Amino acid sequence: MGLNHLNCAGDDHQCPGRRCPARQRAGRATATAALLALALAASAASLWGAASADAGQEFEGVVRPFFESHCTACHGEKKQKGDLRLDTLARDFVNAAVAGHWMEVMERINSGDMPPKKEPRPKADDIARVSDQIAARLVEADATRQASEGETISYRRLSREEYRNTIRDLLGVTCDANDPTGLPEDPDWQGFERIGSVLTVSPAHIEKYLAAAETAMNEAIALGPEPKRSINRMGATEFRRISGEVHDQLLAQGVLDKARIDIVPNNGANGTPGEGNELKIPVTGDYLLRVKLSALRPVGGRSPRLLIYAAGIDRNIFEQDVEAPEDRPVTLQFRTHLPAGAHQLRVINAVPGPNPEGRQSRPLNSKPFFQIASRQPWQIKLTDDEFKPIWPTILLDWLECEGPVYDSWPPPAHQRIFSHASPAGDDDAHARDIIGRFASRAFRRPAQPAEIDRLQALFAGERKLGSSFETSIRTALVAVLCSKSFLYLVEGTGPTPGMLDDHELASRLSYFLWSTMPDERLEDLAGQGLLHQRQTLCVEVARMLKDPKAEAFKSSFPRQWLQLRRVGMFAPDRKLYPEYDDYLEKSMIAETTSFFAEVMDHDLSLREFLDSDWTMLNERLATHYGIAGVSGEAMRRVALRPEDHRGGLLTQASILSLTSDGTRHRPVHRGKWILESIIGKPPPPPPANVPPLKSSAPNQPKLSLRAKLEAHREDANCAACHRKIDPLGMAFDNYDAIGHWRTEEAVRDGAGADPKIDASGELPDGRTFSDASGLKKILVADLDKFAAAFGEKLATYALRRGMTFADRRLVMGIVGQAKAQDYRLASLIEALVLSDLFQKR
Amino acid sequence: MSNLLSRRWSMPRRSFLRGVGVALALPLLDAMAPLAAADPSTGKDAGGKPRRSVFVYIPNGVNGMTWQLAKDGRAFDWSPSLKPLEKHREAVTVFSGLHHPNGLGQAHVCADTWLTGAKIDAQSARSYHNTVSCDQLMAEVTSRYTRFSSLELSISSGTGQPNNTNTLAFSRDGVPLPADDNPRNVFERLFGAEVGGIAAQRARLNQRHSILDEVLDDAKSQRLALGSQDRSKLDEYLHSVRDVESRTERLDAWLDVPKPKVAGGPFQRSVSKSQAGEYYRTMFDIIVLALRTDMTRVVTYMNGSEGNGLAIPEIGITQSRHNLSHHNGDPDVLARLSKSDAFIMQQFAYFLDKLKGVQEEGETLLDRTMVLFGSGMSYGHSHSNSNLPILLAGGNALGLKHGQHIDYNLPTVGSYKLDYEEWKSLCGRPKDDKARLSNLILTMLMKMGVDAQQFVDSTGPIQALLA
Repeated sequence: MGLNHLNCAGDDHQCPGRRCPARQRAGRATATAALLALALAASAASLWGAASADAGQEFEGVVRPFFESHCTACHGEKKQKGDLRLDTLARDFVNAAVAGHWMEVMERINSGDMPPKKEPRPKADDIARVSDQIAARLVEADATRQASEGETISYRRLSREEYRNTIRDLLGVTCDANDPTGLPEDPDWQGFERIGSVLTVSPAHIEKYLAAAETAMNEAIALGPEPKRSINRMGATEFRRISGEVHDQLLAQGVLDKARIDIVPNNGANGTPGEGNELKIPVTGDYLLRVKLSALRPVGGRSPRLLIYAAGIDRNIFEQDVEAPEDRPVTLQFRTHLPAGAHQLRVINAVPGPNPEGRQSRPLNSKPFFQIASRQPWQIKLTDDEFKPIWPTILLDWLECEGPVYDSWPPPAHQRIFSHASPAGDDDAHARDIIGRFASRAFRRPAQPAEIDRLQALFAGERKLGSSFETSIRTALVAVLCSKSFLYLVEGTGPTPGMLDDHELASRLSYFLWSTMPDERLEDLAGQGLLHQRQTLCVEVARMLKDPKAEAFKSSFPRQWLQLRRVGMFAPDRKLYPEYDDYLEKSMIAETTSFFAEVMDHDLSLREFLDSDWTMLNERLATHYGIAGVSGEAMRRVALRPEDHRGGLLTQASILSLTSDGTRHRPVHRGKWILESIIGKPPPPPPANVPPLKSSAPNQPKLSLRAKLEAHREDANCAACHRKIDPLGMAFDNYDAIGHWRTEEAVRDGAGADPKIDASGELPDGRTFSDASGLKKILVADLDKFAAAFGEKLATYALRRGMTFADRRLVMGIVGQAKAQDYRLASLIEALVLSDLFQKR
Repeated sequence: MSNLLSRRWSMPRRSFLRGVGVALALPLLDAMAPLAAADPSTGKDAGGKPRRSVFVYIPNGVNGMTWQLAKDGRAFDWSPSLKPLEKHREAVTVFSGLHHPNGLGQAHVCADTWLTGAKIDAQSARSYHNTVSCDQLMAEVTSRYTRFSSLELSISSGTGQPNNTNTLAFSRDGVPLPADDNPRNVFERLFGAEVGGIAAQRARLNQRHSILDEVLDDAKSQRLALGSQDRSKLDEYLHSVRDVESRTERLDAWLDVPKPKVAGGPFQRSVSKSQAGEYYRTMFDIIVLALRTDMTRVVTYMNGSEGNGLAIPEIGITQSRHNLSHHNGDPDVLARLSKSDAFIMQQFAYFLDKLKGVQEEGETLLDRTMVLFGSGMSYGHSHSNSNLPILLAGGNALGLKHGQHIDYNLPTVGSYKLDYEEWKSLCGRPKDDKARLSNLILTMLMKMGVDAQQFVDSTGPIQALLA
């Protein structure tokens, strides 16, 4: 029960148990793992919990006596109150009904509902132990289901990001999958957006895949002559709709095309007109956009921030701080992919603060600016008496759009698809050849004859209707892109049950490190049957980590592991946190992802995640942290001093803020996050209908949130779980809901001074700390356990499913190997890829 | 007409029956058949006129102290939050004390299960076994007459996450159906002209159909090789492809029926969600338009999701609904929550006004449209979900009796004090275990012509509603 036998095709009756050769093999390979496991099991009351060697026995040892003392009198052989009998309750947690019963049991004893009030109370510790056991079993069953042990062949859908990257590498086409008209957002499980059993496909997905495939094919294959590349320049006056008399006078003076417009902060907010214009895009494709502009930056203030937004597709096309001085404007150029149509572009100055448009000193539209009659004395000025700017202002000259841009014509994908010469006059053979080659690349394995037959029939049908050769090929290739073999990662079609074949291994590897399809080299090695060999894998991993495509891993993995999608999910209240803006949020997330990338690129140890003397900052974030001397938009490594109160992941603003509810920090949620993402041991769910915290009466002294949460300590039922959760969260009370450092807590209810922050705490094993840096030191001391938890997260990401007990033992072995390299991140990744775990289903 | 005999349909029927809490008569699949037999131009079922249902959801519960009606029966006074419905008294029934037994203790999934009544383990990622939502059961019956089988609208587009859904509608596989949050997009989808004309559109549809045929054959050939009896991802994929193929067939059949000409003016501009009132009213307008033109007869609308309930700056409420619902007993916050409740009820009254304003053959649109309004939570602060705020409006011509407050709490509590402690205690566990939201849903299913005797854990239709 709960133990999954590796590589086992036999049934229970034939199971030789410990004499099973597969199990013995696994046992040998994880000798170090067993040692680690024992070491961990020894500290049963520790933060990290016990990793059991024999889970089933321990479960019985804890749960059975508890049931006998407190439950079976009413829920046993003699009586079955509420139709529930506990002494014979099945242990098959994989069965949904059984799991439901166990969850109810856990919920009832946690909330104190059971045993009923008149019976003697069980000790809170006992309740906690039983609850832990049940929770662990449920997690295990979960992972078992995710591992699809019952399925002969498993299908795990590509995530939205992976689909986009695969289309890019297969066809060279940018897929606007993130647009509102694009693919639906992927659901997540504990932050991971690529868990096979969670990613579903609905009819709406199929429709979107069809539409995306058709659009991508239209761009990739040339069905006509090359679209004309044109340049469309729009002067500044078009963005403010300067018209009529003013327009004519400017034209007469010869300055219409030289006029600039001033764009003040938050233009277009609160119903003011803002600056915008329509951009007509004839053909879906890549376009070059250029903007000529300069900036007015107030002394001691910040630069204005250019943001170009396309309203119809609801997308920020480009954003950047503008540094160029007024007399030396700069031309910014960027390349972007736009769908055909008329787009309402808005040019926005995206800095926080009020919008002064309504009353600023701007000439009226009825009289041009060089006539004195256009000035109104009561308007607010753009500059002060010394002609210094008052707020960050953009001065826009023009915006132009060039395209569509093609790197070659016909496009590279077209050339690749139609590259081979056609055998004279034989359309069908040519078509078969093209379809076969494309399908093999798209399916990430050789296409089978029956598959090619079906696709060729589709081609022939279209051709019979009178369509051209290219158009008919296009139809067949669209079907390839909607096929299950393209949209899903398929595992289990190989000769060895329970193991991946080489092509499946190539896909797993490339979607792990690159979030995209295997390249030619990987496919070649797979085709030759060499990929599963240790030496080959070693070389490939090193090559892949150096490839630019590994950037996908470096941004996607931390985003999913650390649940960064929750940053800004509850938008910080504008009144309480006026300085919070989009740019700050982006910078916060960028700190974490570039921190991760830095650890990878410079071959640093996992230890840096827990505590470091450096971090990655740009000017915006440095201002937020109160760290001087950083300027510009790019993230760069900055050394930290103790008084900066930062270092490692746990005190980064993104992580401190993602658990907030938009008004205040939430220590219990912070504790839960640490248990989930750092320690790898999520707490059991809370019971329903927990009463709310009491607020202070107006005449009572102000209480900090910590003081109000003391209620968790008073009730033994609550304390059992919360003494593991609360201290971890309260250690970070010095950081508010958006990650600012503070020493007092701003409290609204009650009277008197704001209370001072107390960030001290005690862990269940007795170790104490006085603040966040003390907690970080304790976590660093437990580095082995963090490495194990991290290893499990990495494996979950790579294998796209939760880890069972058996998997965890293998993960320990992998982590044990990485320990010899001081837990360098790259060495851990290598150890994972080379392990047995990576090659089995 | 039965497509069980159609050679396209080689999927075991069993696949469609598993996990369904409804005892339905077979065949289930008629509604997905090509429209050879139904005549799209009449749009009417045997015996007359269209029947419609709309489901409107608000998140995080309400302030029960200002929502709860003190008296039951017909002679009740309106509470402050429900007062905007006063002029629709004869078309509204208010309920107290309803709950979903499977939902107790499962706080955040309340939106996921509001129309499905399923028991979901909120902690596990066990491929999220939800079941079919009642609106989809209705759509199966009505879709043969309408161009679109159902319409899903929401505050946020897409499906959201398991346990934090953006949509109320779930397919028979328990897969969420994505919603739309942009009235302009919806308008284009419903009424937009076919690009390039009908012949071109037909050619496109045919091509699409051929592609889907090939994709389906490819997947089915693989499925034969699988021995597994359990639900697999391949089945989910297969059903979805087949569904799109049916839709393609349906679109083709409807091509020759001209789309109604409607003025799109109000829907061409984008309405910002920061103008909450206008945004809500625009969404309600598009629902009325879709029903009035018989584009569909089943609509679900999440006015807010559990994680995303709009702030209402125009009446001075800057907090999101989620933050308001975590009031912690603070009278200021509770007052704001009440204000927010009343505001939403004003917009809902506007919706009922609009439905009532459309005449069809001696009745109004409201007379033939049932609207279920409410939340999956009651006392939002601790995520309690007994005593759900629920009301049913419209459908008087379908045989419903309104103008009453049906209260399942009063037999136990006697009378209401309408104070904080009472509100909390009403919402923790149900006073009447038989007061199930599924009974109301079953009543609606029956009125829509769905051949059902039960829905999940229902004990029977609500007799007091039936005329």
